[in-house]
Amino acid sequence: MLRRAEIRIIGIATLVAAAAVFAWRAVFPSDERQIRRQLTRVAEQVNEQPQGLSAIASAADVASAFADDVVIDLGQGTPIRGRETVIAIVARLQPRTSRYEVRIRDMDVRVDDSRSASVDLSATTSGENGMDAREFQLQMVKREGKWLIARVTPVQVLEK
Amino acid sequence: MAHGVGRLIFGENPRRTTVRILILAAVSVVTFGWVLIPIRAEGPSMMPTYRSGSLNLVNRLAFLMKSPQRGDIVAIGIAGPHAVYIKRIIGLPGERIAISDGTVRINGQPLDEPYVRNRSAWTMTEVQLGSDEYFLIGDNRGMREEEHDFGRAHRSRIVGKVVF
Repeated sequence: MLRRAEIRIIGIATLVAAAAVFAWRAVFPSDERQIRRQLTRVAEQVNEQPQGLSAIASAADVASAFADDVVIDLGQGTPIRGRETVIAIVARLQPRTSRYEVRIRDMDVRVDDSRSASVDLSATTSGENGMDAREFQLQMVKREGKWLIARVTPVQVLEK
Repeated sequence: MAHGVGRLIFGENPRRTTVRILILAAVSVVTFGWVLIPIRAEGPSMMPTYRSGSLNLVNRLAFLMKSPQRGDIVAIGIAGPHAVYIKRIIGLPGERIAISDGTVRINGQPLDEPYVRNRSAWTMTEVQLGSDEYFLIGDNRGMREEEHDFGRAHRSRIVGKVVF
């Protein structure tokens, strides 16, 4: 039988070990965790309602999550190519898109190697006209220590 | 007074009541977290069967012992169980599906669909379903075809049967 003092020492050691693991994960997040944070941040920024110059700054902030040569294919119309185009589109559309709330759900992150990863996620938009949900596949690349969105393609859940 | 209220809530045997509450809470978490998932229908594609905003339950165990059947209303997962489509199964694995002037044809034969109230002249060329594919469509055929998501989905996309 363990004595009370020994139980206390084991308890404290367990707490210290848990705190160390928690601190380690907070300071050095895994690639998967970094990608999840990055994408969640993008959704939060899209939902902001900046005005005037701050709208341009906000658009640049959103676009910083994308690679220079990003290709965004939303399944309709011509794909969006390049980060500069993303900034222009986000700055122009943000007054309209901020009327909708974008949420990312069910994110499935697969890190292929130290420089590339793929993500399946469903994005929902809710606003005046109800709610819409779409599934996308993202290709992520790691450049200069930061995970960036390199390609966005829609996933057809129901194929004709 | 406080003792009286406590007795009213926990009864003659507080320990037994607490155990019952904990069991009830655990059963509720398991039931509504994994077995019967509450979902809210959004959009008009399943009208008049389900109206936009209606609360429904999806039975995830419905297809454990048997395969989905024609006419079943099912939830189709979009990258996970939290955002789903609600659609009706009209085509089963291996069948040929076509739509002409709003009438669905299965292997060339028109399908009787008493649940469809309004019907626009939708057209879709014939598709052959794979061995694990189902054809799903909403009940509201009065809306514009291009605004209505319908088509084939793999069996693994079916989250469960909408039961309420």
